[in-house]
Amino acid sequence: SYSFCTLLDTHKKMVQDTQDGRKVEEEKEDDESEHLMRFWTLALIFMVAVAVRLFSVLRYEAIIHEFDPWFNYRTTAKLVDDGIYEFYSWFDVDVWYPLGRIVGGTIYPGLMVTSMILSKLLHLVNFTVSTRVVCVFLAPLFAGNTTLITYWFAKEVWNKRAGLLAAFFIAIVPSYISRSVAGSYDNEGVAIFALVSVFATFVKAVKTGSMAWVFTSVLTYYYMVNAWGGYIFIINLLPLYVIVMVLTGRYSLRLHVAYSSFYALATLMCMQIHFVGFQAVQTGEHMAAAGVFFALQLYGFSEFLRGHLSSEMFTQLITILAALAGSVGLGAVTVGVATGYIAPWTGRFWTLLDPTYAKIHIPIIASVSEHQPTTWSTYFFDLHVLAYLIPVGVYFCMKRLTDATLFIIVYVMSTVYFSGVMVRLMLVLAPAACITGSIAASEILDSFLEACIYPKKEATKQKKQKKQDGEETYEMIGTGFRWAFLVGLIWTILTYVMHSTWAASEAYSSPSIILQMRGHNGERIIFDDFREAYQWLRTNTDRDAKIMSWWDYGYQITGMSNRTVLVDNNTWNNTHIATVGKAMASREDVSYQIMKKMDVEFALVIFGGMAGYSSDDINKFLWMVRIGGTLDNDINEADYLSQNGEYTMAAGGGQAMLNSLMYKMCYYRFGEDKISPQAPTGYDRVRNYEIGNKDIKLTHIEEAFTTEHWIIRIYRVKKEQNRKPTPPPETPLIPSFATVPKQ
Amino acid sequence: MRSLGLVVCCLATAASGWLNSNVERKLDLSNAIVRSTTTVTAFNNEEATDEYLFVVPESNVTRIAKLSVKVDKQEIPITETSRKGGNVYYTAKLKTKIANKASVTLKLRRSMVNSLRPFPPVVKQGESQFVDYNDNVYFLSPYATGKQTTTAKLASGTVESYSKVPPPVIQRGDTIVFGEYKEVEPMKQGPLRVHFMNNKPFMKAVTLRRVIEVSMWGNLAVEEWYAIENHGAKLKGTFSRLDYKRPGHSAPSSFTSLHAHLPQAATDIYFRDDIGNISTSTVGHADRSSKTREVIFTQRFPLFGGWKTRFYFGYNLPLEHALTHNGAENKLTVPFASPVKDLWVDDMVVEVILPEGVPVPEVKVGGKVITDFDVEYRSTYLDYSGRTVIVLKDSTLASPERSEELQVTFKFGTKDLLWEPIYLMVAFMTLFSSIIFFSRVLG
Repeated sequence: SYSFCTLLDTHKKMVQDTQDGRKVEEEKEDDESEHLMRFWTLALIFMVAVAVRLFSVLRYEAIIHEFDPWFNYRTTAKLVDDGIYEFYSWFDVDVWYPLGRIVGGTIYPGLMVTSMILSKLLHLVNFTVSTRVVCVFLAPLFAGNTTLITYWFAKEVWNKRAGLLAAFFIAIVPSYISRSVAGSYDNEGVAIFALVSVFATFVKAVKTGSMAWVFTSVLTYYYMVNAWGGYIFIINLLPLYVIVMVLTGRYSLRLHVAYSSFYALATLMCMQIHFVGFQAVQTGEHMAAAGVFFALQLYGFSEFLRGHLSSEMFTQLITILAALAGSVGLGAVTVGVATGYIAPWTGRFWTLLDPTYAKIHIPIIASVSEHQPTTWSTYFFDLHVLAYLIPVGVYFCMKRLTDATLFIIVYVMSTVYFSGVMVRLMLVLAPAACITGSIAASEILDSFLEACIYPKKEATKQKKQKKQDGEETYEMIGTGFRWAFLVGLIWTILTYVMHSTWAASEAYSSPSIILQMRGHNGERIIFDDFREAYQWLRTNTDRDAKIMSWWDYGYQITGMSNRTVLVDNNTWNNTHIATVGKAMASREDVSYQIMKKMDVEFALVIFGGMAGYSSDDINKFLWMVRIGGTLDNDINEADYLSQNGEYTMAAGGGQAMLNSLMYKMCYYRFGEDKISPQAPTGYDRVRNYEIGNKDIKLTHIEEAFTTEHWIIRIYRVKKEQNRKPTPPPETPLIPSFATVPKQ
Repeated sequence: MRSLGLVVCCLATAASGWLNSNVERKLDLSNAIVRSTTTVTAFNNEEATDEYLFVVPESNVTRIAKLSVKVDKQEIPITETSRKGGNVYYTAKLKTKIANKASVTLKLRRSMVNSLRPFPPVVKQGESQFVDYNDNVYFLSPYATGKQTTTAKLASGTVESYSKVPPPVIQRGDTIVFGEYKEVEPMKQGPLRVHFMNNKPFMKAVTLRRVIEVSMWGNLAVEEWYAIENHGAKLKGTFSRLDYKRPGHSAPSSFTSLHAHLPQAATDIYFRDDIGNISTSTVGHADRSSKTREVIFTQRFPLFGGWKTRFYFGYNLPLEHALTHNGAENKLTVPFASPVKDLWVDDMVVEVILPEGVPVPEVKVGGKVITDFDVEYRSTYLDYSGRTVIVLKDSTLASPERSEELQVTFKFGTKDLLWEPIYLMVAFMTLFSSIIFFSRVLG
């Protein structure tokens, strides 16, 4: 095959690596002091990346945040305590009662294994750090690693100066901070590091065509698949990149080697992961990569033939081959889909391509706030200055088009689209934004700084350049303007620092299980109701008590209370969730039957009407009604709305609403209290009106616990009575057949 | 307390030459722990002796948190001598022999847990808790008693019923006086029963683990793990937050706070549980006279009867407050029991973590040498062979009653202190020299 290669190489005038010339130039200026300087700058950036994420610990405490991190923490604790084999064969009976969940086979274990290795290493040298502490500080640590790999990536794509800027940008980009503050122990925390590593090494592999780099890339990809379901993005972006490369006439043997071997090895590797397995060759999400793989082989073959045949014969042959391959491919896919070998795309994937899909078909996906489309303000809030440096960076990439910069262009363009569909994908855009932003900033700084500091040298250089390639220059711009522009840019970057620090300390540090409110004098008031209730459950209920709550709180209840839940944030069984939704939305007696069937001992609701906590169950209730309605025809959304079609709990609200179990559990005895002396009784602080039904009687459940600010209310499901209570005296003397006891 | 050895001396009858000329018994029933103080004026009828016997019914022995006898404000040693007829006989060894026809005044103090039975055993949220107390109406003694009175101090004046025989029994507010009874023969018994309202918190630590870690670099870290339960009448039915907050409707027998007296020099006090920080503790002002500082540990939720919670707290103390040394011989002196007020502890484990390389030390509790403890080795930061940990288990304790000190004497010289810096130096040296090696030779 050596002849094949050389033939191909000589035949095809491969696109020249324009960066090679520049690289030599750069390496020359890299003397010892600069090397040291760069090392320390990177070290400082690393420290900043870690430090800025510790605001959450300073403002609150070293605690696991939010929802999913509690599950991750719980599984990590299991892994550390019981070992990897126990972990993989773990059937969790504490969740999805009575179904249970095969945890080992249904999670991405990368995060847990990373923490375990870290924990074991620390214990090996007798640093007896608890698992919780390792979990809390893992995300900041990996954010530090991400800065390093981003530096390297940007250096490979552009130059070292851009690399430093990229590292600096990604260290404090709010979008990434939001998912990686200390305590935010989530897959994304390690996955972004893995994602950037895969891209960086793959680009390096394409640049060099070296198998070693391909293999490195496959290893990082393997880690990525272990860590996060977002690897689907990579396995679709890389084929897209290959297509763009081929279409723009940048096909090369390096690309061929890099992609083909990457695809083959990566697919094999990711099939080793329990949760992925044969999905890697069977599901629609992976098909684009397979298609491009085969197409690339055909393309390579045709390129080989081109050299041996006359152009007419070649055109004919290619037409036939293309038609043949096309029909075979189409046929294979059709047969695959028809026989069910190839699974269709999942709901989430469809949502990405068609943002209105979930709203119509799958209410559970649409009900999650992080699956909502992104607002413009979010772009500015999460990217700040980068939001408008992206186009500039893309412009510079276009101007100096190489294989690597083309990758950046494809990456940033596709993520800009995806981030617009789902707000959580802002996170994937962040590294792309940082790299393009750094290219823009570094190019501007380069040319303007040089021109400002060495005006003469620059002028002669420009003249020379003008003579050489007739490129446009900045000659007509005066030095004063240049200075102004420079100061402006630096000032903008400084505001970026200010904004990011503020966002890290104020907006993204809250663990969301501890609520902080401002008192009248500006002092901080802590509402610790969540942990109050969870600790109560943990210490005052039986170990095998079953708790019914909306699925949002499932992970927290299993994590903090160590009790069995019906549904949790791993929304794998829509019917089960719909059952809980129906129980919450039905009348008390109907719900009681459902709860008895499910062995429920306690029902838990989140209620913010007393404390003014707005993300409570009442505000989520319409989703429960909708999801509960998918179970059967008992629940009808229209019954829950007022006559004008409004969603309200006030007088005039739908009768089904005012008699639902959710309403009763939230507002039980709320009508007897006032939130302030001026307000009427039963005045809801979140909804800002007086509730419609204040006279709530409970028959089948009783209040078991309510937290200090009423945020969590727990009800005990009563045992069934032994016999029916004696009928009240006003019953007719001649009993109907229904009440005559059977003889 | 345990394994006192068999100092059998069967002189019970021989010592019956005493006569209790006057007995004044004070029963303090105002708390969850019953404390009684009995002042006995004993008259020696026969030859000079230094032994005085007193008796506790066997069924009460396991409930005794503390038993002490003082003569002239000086504690004297007591030993269990024999068990017969369902009673346990203790011998108090007097400092001096009491001559014939001479008198001595003894002060017996006894603290009992688990002696107030909630009755009814369940109450609703707003209801008060009533308890039932049963005892011997007479002072149980192997000697005849000239005259005696028993004064019971109740938690409240609300008394459902009390035993009225033998007369006179007089109730005055929250006090009931039984007696005076004259000419009571030895070992006489009669029922004493009081059923009254007692809304004092019935705090019980089901388990307590105290960890005391000595760092010879100048710090003593104390951490205490509690599993607490309200041992009073159990809550029946619902808990309503609305009623709980309303004045006058709240739950009288529930409690939310534990008061602890920590050393005045304690710093970095923390209060947590399995799921993180509990942000509701208050550090009070220092009490200069007792060199303590009151810290109020307010729990996440109120504890009603039968409710449980778990938490731990800890603090640091400069080592000079607890450690004295004489050459390489170090003596650590810390309070043995829990610093929490009015808390009765069922099961206590005390762990003292000594520095690495310390040989098995000498342990004393309340001046008595203890040999019955486990030794473990635990490796943490900068350890190679593991730190010496002594583990003391004790299941017969009511912590506030025991003011004994735990004394650990161990050998640790100044040169032993150097190991940790040496480990660090070696680690950093290895790191730097390997960097130098790789960057110079390979790079």
